[in-house]
Amino acid sequence: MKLNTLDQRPIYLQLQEGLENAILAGTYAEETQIPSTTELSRAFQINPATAGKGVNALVDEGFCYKKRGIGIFVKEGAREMLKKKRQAVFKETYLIPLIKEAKHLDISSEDLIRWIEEADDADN
Amino acid sequence: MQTIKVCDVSKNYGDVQALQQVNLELARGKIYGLLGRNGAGKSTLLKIIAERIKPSSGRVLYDGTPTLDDVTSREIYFSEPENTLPEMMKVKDFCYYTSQFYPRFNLDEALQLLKEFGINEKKRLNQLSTGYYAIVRSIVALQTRAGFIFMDEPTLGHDAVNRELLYDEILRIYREEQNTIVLSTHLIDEVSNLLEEVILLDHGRIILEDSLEGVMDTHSYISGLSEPVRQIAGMYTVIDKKEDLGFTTLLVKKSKDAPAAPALPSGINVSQAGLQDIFIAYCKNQDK
Repeated sequence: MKLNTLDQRPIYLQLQEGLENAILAGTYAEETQIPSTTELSRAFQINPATAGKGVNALVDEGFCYKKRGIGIFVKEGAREMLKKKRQAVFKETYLIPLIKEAKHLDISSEDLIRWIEEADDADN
Repeated sequence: MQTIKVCDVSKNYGDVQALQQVNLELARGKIYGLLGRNGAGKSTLLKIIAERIKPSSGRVLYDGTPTLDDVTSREIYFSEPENTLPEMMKVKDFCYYTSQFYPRFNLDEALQLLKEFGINEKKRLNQLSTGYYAIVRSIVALQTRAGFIFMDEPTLGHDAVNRELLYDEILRIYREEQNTIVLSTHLIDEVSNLLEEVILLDHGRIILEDSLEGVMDTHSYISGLSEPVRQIAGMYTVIDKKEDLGFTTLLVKKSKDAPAAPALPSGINVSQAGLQDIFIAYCKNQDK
């Protein structure tokens, strides 16, 4: 994960997304511990409060839980839940703007679907 | 000491008003960025807080007390970029004498760190290059582990590699001490990841004071064709405006009840503004 000052989104959101990606990829498996706020602060050269905010967001959204005095763990079933969340985010941040822009340019839904299939074929 | 409160502080140098009725409260346990252009009044404010100079009016309260005493003055360390240190003193003696005043100073650790940077502890301070002088200044400042450490232009004289090491060291000491570190600088993008709180000073006044997240959440760019942008501009506080070739870009401050991006008419683009952009917009706005 690389936190980028030029990426104008707040650092804690970038951190949260990076941790989510690591959970999705299985780097942090379910029922295992994720790095502590101190470790994240050191590794990414960020304020510990910012690191804490990124981690707490994962707890608040129910993907992780706190074990008192030990640390933060990935919840069982977190990967599946995360996939659902990120699919919803995908719809919001990619699909809806895409459809808006397509309408703006008079591209029909049929054309769009055909292009998606063609691009998918080319990718495989 | 838990808080330092700056109350209605003004400072005049002859006709020049360096500070104008500054009010500010610094809490224990945070990293602050005191940001401002050259001549904005950053150093003057820090010198007043550290009791190096007196304000023309107003006062500073340390946990409610108007002056520093033998105990509370050990809770403050002020590191200046000017050569105010005893120049004939050897590096190791400078560390030693500072450690005698600041009880939490770890002398062995400081000397070890300086050695790793390649600094000969037997050199006198005036024999050091600008870069080495800057390293000694920063390491000693952090190593005091004082409750409130003020670093005026901490990056001055450091090369890019040493700045990175300095940022690591700032965060390390902060994690260990949970103290307050105030970084006064104009290198905004570089330090922004370290900060929890932002204080923006311009022409001797505080023009913005908030948590870093608060600043980032409430400011954004709004751009698009001039006419639709003009129609919605009234919903925001416009900090900066660029108009060219029929397009307008605004840097705005949103109030809490401002409409979310999807509620805006199509063709209007909302994007996040960086701390440096926000800083520049406010300074330009003040110049008008």
